[in-house]
Amino acid sequence: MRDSVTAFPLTYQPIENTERWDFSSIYYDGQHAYDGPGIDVNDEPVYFAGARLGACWTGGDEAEILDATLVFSAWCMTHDFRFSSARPWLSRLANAREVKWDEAFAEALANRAESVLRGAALVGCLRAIGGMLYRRPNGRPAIARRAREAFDNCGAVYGLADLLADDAHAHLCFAERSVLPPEKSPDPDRSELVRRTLVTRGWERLAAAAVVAYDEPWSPFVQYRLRHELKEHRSAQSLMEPSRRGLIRIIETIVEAVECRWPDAQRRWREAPPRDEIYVYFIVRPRPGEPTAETQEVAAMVTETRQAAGSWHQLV
Amino acid sequence: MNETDRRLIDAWNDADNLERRGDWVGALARLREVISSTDMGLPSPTRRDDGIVQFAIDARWLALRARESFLALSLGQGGEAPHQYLAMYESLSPQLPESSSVLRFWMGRLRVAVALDHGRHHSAMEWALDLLDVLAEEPSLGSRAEALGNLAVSASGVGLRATAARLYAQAMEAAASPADAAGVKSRHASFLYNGGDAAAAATEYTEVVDVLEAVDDPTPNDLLEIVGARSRRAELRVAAQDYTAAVDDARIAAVTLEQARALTAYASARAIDQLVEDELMRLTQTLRGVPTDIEGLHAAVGEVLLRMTNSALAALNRRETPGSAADLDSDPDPRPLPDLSTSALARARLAKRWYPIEQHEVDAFLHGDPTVMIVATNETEDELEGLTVLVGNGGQKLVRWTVQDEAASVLRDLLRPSPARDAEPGAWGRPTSDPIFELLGRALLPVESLRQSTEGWTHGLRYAPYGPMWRLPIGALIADGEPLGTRVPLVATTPGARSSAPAARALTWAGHFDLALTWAVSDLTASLRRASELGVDLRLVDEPGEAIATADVFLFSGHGHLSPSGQLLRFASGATLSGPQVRAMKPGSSVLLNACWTGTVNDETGSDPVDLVLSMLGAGANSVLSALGPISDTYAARFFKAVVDRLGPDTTLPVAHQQAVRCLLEADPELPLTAWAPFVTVARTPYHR
Repeated sequence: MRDSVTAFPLTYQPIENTERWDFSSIYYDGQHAYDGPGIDVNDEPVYFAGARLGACWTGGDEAEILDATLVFSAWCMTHDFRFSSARPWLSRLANAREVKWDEAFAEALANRAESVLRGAALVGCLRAIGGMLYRRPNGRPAIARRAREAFDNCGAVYGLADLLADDAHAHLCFAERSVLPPEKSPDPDRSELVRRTLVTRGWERLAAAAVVAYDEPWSPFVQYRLRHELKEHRSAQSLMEPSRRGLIRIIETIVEAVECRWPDAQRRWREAPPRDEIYVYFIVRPRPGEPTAETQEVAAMVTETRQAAGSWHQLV
Repeated sequence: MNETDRRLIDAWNDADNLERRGDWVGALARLREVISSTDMGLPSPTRRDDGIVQFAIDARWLALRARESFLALSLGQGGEAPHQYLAMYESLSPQLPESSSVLRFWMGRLRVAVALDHGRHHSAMEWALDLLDVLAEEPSLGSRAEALGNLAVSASGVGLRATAARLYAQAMEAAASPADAAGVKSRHASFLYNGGDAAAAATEYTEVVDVLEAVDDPTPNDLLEIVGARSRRAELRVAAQDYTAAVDDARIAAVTLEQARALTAYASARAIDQLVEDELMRLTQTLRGVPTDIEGLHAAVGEVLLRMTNSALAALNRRETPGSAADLDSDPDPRPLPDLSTSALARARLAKRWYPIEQHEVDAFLHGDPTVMIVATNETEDELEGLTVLVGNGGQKLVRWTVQDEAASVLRDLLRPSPARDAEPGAWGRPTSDPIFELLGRALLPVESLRQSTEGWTHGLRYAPYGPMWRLPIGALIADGEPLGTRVPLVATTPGARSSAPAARALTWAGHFDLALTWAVSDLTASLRRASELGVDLRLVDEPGEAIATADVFLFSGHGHLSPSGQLLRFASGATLSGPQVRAMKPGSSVLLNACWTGTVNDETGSDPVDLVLSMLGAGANSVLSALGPISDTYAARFFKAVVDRLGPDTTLPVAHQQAVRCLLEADPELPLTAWAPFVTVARTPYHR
């Protein structure tokens, strides 16, 4: 059981070392911009979410297991940046309670999450809960909306790129895995239309995520995420309408532009000693990006468009 | 199998057996023996071309050190050494995969203990879970009940109370024997008490006591569990105003403590055994809450005192050797005085180790004629003032006295250090020719007549000094329920040639900070930074010699310990302060020693005492602030910060010390004794100018 809490090797963080990565800086423009009841990303329980979860499961108290699972989900989405770490534990929670992962259960968890967590941690937890509804397209938007509302209300300045990338990922996964391919569908035309629409919306949202990421301070995690989505959904490219496939090339260019942004931050990241637990997940460090003529052009275009639009929200 | 392998395996198996018998001290001693006698350890690092430093470490050595560190920490021994080992290990950890489950188990145990010791419950939880994993793979390595119990303690510490309650139940179920379960139950009782259920906690403690006292062949650990349970039950009973039962608990706890000490290896347990001292401290704190008219209180106090005192204190009552200071006393019937430099040390030499005093000695101590325990004097032009603790006549008294005119001049002569100082050969020399050392060595003055003449100033004493601090036992006194320091200075002032020179916040400071302690002294370093902004030349040094020879204020913040060769101040560079370096120190300087054991007398090894503080005074230091025993990093940093903040052009070190204690106690009257009592300033400078 314990091994699955820490699927990664233990990093033997020095016990006396209190200096840690400041995760709040990834979301807030300053330390703990949003103050309120509940646990946020930089709070101790989130750092030790795995240990809390392990202890609670060993103890076996239902209420504390539930809370610990929610905190752990927040940790996965805000520190680990992987939904796949949270999923087994959210599934296990449902199994232990002998309920199915449906809209009602998700809503109950979301309600509880709102009383346990706050700020970016709450957004992360809601993203994880929404992620569990990947086979339930009717329930997912409601949770996604709550996550977006929580984001708008929590004082987070950055992190929208993650939410948009989630949305993109959901659309693309749904198109790839859940919609019957036209050749198997009783109504091939409609199936084709649905898939194309989903895929197009997915790529549009990923483009929006990349554009927002370009505007936000550089984060290795967002950069990783964008690259990862492009790679994971390569097969969905063929589902795009041929006339719109140029969008993917544009996204790739923006992602390259993102990699060229904030060279100082990237240099610091590359040169930082490998003492931080984050390196466990991101073994491959970002390559130093040299801006090409094309990325410089895109960068100029993005900046120009942003200035014309007034805000990124409008652009997206 | 080579010789080293065989010795390692033998020692490891011996430690297993001793630990199984509950003799952790014996196991620790066995491990230390093999570690010190085996040619193993950290080899010199090699630096590769790419800058990476490599060690080739024997995993067995790491496991031995981990086990030794864990046992030392659990027994409250070794000061910061276990923490240091862990810090060293963690700094190497990227290269240590912990592929050996034995190493992982002992490192896990050590990590849990350190984390709990520092109140880092989340970390403790993480490592307790890791321990459970190891034990799931190899159950023979250790006790699952202990891991579950620690998990429960840490879960409770982070507020997961329901989980903690269930984990405690699981731990009790997993315990191999009723005695093991009682150990868990004892912590569960504490958990219940913290949850506000004092009645349930008392019931749990009662069960623990019943179970363990029914064990036929109790181990020292069982006995110490009984002590803990009775001591805490006594606290609960005092709170419930069930004083008679509380006093009974305290008395039996003290007696049981002696039984634990008497068992095999515990017979060699020394006064540095922090675990025992903590329990005694707790018992005395409990007894302080009992009204004085409760029956049995006196006997209980006596039992506790019996365990608190060491061989030297016992010798105070033996009165074997007449002392020259008897001339000072105007008492028509001068009593012979013990000469501690011979009798107590002779006894200590014979005993080799900690020497428990006997009941008749304590009776004499409590019911015999008054014995003077300490002297603290203040010098003015024509009189000397002093503070004296009289122990005897069925109680203890604190006396404040004044000597005028002729008597003052005699006493002053006695206190005055001899001006010439021989450059004696050898690393450490105790300048015994100096009258002040004779006086402090004797620690006893015949001032019964003074007591009579100052009857009106006498205060009742509720708490007596203990342990290895008999020489200057000022720090632990409480008069009329009020800590001594709030009314009178906590300093032993020894007037001397430089009595008019204030120990100002000087122009040159030198300090040493062990980086391993930096986390604990960050407040202190902030104060020093502020001092440097005020124009003080602050230098941080790694080598003691130059610093101590040139600094007006020398602040050592690091590790001090007792060894058979004497008191050592250990610098991070590995260097220790040597006798010649002390003798070359800058005259008139102030010394602040923020390190364990710097102010004590090293008598438990049976060797001649080496008194760091007295040597420094003898070498010309104006004042020395030191610790009488082990000190906690956190409290010490807070205390030294308070002192440093108060040092100024017009404030001497003794006065800064006194003000710091007052300020700390005013801010927090519940501050434990360990936060302020272990510190003592010995100075030539009077506190009044």
